[in-house]
Amino acid sequence: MAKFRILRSNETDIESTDIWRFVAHEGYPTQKVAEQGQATVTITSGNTVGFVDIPHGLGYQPQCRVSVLNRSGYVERLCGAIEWVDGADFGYYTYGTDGTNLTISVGYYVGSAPADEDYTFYYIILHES
Amino acid sequence: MGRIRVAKSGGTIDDNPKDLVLDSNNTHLMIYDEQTLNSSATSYTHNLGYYPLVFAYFQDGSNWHPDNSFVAAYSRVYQDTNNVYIENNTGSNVKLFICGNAVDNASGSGKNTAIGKIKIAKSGFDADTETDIRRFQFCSGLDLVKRDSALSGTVTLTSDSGLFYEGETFITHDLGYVPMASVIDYAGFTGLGGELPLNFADGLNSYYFYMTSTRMYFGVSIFSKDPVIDTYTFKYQIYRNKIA
Repeated sequence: MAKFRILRSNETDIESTDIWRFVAHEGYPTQKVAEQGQATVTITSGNTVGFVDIPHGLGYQPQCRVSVLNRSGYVERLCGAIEWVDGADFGYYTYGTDGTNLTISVGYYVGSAPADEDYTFYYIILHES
Repeated sequence: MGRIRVAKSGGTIDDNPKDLVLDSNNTHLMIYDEQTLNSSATSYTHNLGYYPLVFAYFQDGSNWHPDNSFVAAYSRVYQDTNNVYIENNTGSNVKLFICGNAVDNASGSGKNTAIGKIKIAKSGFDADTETDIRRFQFCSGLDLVKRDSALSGTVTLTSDSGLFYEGETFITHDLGYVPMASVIDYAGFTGLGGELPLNFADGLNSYYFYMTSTRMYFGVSIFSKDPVIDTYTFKYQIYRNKIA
């Protein structure tokens, strides 16, 4: 069986069974990017939810890494759903996938958009189910 | 344009890209920096000048939790373009994996971050002259996220029927160290494919996971006025990247 191994810097044992010592190893697939980009989700004035569908066409439910430029001006990676608080209002950022789309949503549990609100999300769809 | 592919042992280069060790047609997630910081750390400066993709795991005794987990008191990280800010509510260490990839994997320039003797540039860029990770598909000096297909799988758990109906189960990986891992909500109550931990309904409902050096645990805690026993299926991936 052919071998393909790249050791991490400062590692010396190419036959090591500690796979974390390798950058890459023939026994282990690696995470790769299938799709990527930036998306804007709008909650229109008076409404409580906005979402966007991003087609990926992978044919399986992929893993994604989605981040939001949050209401405090910082970027935060979403797990499947995280919540935000802003004064008396609070709500959520979330995303989900199926075999066709990545769907990113933002919404209010309490309150509603006083005017059109745009939210910026960043996404990486992985070649990984 | 030529293509370099490395198949996994027992596979072929025509396998789906997700099952390949290396594929020059796709950008690999490349870990630029790893840091274990103690509980007093409130920030870490990476100075990349853009928003990198960051993974964070918080220690609580022998357990390590991903960020935003309710069983780790919602410890979390967030960032500007040069710093990762840490809200550590466990009173213990946090492990950061900072990828050179931007959060949207966009190409950029100006950083001298591409490391290694084997480099594959993104289409339109010259591997001989580019220096910024964001313009590369792969750099051999940067660690990759390596999936253990044999240890990964799906797990199903059933909640009890209290006011907070709860359930927890585990699998044994026996690696002897705490591995990086990820979990998606695969089927059951929502089955929407989102990444755990999932927190919704004002923190009353949570799906979570955490790891030790021998096991990986999965759980749910759901508030309901009408308790029902329910079943949840999670799909988990264990990576041969070491948290601790």
